[in-house]
This record gives sequence, C-alpha cells and structure tokens, in this order.
Amino acid sequence: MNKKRFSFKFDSDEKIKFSLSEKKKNIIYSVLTLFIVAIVSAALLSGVNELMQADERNKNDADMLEVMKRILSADEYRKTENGFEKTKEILAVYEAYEGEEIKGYCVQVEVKDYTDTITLMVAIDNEVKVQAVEIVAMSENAGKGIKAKDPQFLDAFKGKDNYITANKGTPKDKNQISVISGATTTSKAVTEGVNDAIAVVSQIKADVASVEKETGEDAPETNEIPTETAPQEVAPETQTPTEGNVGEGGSAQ
Amino acid sequence: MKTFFSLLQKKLFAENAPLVMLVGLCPLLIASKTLISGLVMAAAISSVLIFSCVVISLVRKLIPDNVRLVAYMIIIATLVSVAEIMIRAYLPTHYVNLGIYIPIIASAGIVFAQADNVASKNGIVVSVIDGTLTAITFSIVIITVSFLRELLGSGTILSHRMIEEEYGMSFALSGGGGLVILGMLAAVVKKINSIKKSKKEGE
Repeated sequence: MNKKRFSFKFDSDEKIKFSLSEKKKNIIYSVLTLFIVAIVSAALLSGVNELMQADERNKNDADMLEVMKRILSADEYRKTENGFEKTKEILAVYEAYEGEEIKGYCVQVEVKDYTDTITLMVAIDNEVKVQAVEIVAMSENAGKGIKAKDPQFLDAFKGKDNYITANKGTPKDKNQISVISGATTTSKAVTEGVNDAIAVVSQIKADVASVEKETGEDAPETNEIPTETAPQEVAPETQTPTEGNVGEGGSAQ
Repeated sequence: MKTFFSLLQKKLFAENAPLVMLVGLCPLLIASKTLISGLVMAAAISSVLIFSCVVISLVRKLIPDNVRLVAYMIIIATLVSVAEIMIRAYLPTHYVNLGIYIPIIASAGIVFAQADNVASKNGIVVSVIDGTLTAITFSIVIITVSFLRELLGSGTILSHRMIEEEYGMSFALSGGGGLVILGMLAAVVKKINSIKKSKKEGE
C-alpha cells in the first residue's frame, strides 16, 4: 500500500501533479490558519491571565481579611511564618494585632473529608481558646457535608482549648462536641482542622515562651516544645523576627 | 419584537437545546445542586455561547472547511478558559465549588452545536440573536432544575431555609435525582410540543 502510493506520487502525469500541489496548498493554508488561531488564542489567554492574577491575589487577601474581621476583630492582621511546624494542612497563620499587642491568631486550615476539600478559618485567642470557626470554602460537591456550615455546629467549638474529639450523641466532656447526624465524616474533618489550628497556636505560644525565656535569662532552648519540631523552631534565622514581636508583647504584659 | 418572541418560543419548546435536543446535559447536571451554582453556570455558558457566536461568525470565511471543527474547538476552549479565569478572579467562592467543572463547557454539545449549526453558516447578527436565545433557554432550564434540586434536596433556596431539614430528599442532590428531575421537565416540554402540534394540525 505504502509502496503504491509512493510510486503514484512520482508518476509525472501533468494532471495529477497539478491536483497534488493544489492539495498541498490547501494543507498549508489549513495548517497556517490553525496555527494563527492557536497563537491568537494563547496570546489572549496569557494576557487575560496576567491581568487577572494580581487582582485575584489582592481579592483573596481581602476576602480572608473580611473573614478574620468577622471572627476576631482587631486593628491589623500580619501573616506569620515562624514558630510552628509547617504542614500542608496549614495554609496561613495570621497574628491579630490590637495596637501593638497580639490579640489572638487566625489560622487558615485546609482539611479533607472523604471527597472534598474544606477550607476553615479558626480564630484562637491568647489563652489558646477557640474564639470562632468559619468555613471559608467548601466544594459544592460536598452534598451532605454542606450541613457542616450549620452555625450551631461551628459555635460548639467556641471556648475549646485542647484536643477536641467529635462523637455521636450529646457531649459529655468539655473538649467534646457532637457530630452532625448524616455528616459524620465532614464533622470529624472540621474537628481535625480545628485541632490542627490549636496545635499550631500552642506551638507558637510555646515558641514565644521559649524565646522569651532565652532573652530574659539564658534558659535551655527546647523547653516546652514537643519532640521533633524543636530543632526547626530554634533555628537562628527564624528567631530574629519573632524576638521583636515578643519584646512588644512582653512589655505590654 | 414579535418575531423575537416567536423565535424564543420556538427555541424554548420545539428546539429546546437541553430538553429536546439533549445537548449540554453534562454542565447542566453537574452545576444544578444549588441555585447559586446553577446561576453561575448559566452565566458562564451564556457568555461562552454568545462570544463564540460572535468570534466564529466573524472568522467563518477565513477558516477552511476541513479544519473548521478543530479551529472552533480552539476558539471555544479559549473562551471557556477566559470565563474560568474571570470566575476565579471575581467569584472565588464559586470557583472553589465549580472550578473543575467550568472547563467541561468546552466539551459541552450545546456550544459546539451552536457554533457548527448556526454561527458557521450565518452572519454575526443572526448568530448572536440565535446564540442569545439558546443561552436564555439553557439558563431557564438550569435555573429551574437547580431550583427544584435545592428545594427538594436541601430544603433551601439560596441558602435560606424553606422546608424543614428532616423533609429534605437527598436523592434530589444525587446524580440520579438530577436526571429524574431533568426527565420530568423534558416530559413537560414534550407534552407542550405535542399539544401545539395537534393544535396546528387541527387548524
């Protein structure tokens, strides 16, 4: 088959040659058209993307700010990177400043129930007590999980300060909450997220305490910090920025 | 204006894109769990439909026939990506909900059928009017379906509680429930069509 076509191509009949070149012209024209269409589309897309990206980032920050204002009102929110172990669940940690004093922390956490990703904003005060929990984003596909947006469920987290467990039925313990019936997995995922947030803030608190001690008197470095996170946190470069904040916070105390 | 309404009527009943021609069902079923996502999807598909009609009817004479489908595909996919970027920028909460389903518009038959059947054969005015009418039809259908699904499934409308929670039918939120509701609507449209037809024959 291949051979036949090959020989056909080189048959120097005037007519066939003509039609072949016509076909070739068509092919070239088609390819060029497609090429131009693709180039123009790509240029348009990259232009739109470029335009929107900066806008988007500002918008996202503004949205987060709005959520934080709602759940923990303060004058200023500063993103912090120090004093805690970074995991992929913790998206961002913000310190809420009232004047020059840290009023509390807002932790943005991402958790997964069995199908969906849920983004939470957890407000925690200085005594590592949960002030409020808000679901920032949740995939629509959650279906039943959408019940977790129920304010009654989210309010139940208020005042919790330790590892929270989610169980069925009425809570017996102080750090226990009841799951939403029909949305057990989602409730447990949200609870895990809040626990992560509490863990982060207590780590920051422990870090602040250890730095404080260190600056005051030459105390051993790894004081209240649990296990493996310790070496990371007392690394010299992560300390320096925290020290300033601690000084301010300490003097106010 | 009168012709516009008669055209709209024709689009709504005899040539209803999702319910009679059964195109564009994929985005329709995916995005109709809540009314708000239905509205966002309706807006996205409408803009893609109208803009693709504009672009394709403008370039239709430049594109050779043998590669026209590929070229339309690229144009539609570009417009869908633009819509996706816009939704990501301006409606970030809905992007989280619907984000991965927006690109599916590019493969939805409704846009493609519109491009190949109407926009590639007609001038810009005719194609835009036709595209707008198709967009209106699709929007009406998806808003109805998502309204019913949210009301029956979660008992809410735009997150306002309408029905007590324990009476919610979670079946309506599942894919099967969506198909059943869609089928009921299709039956209603078919009935109306047959009544109209018999009336016409009676005259």
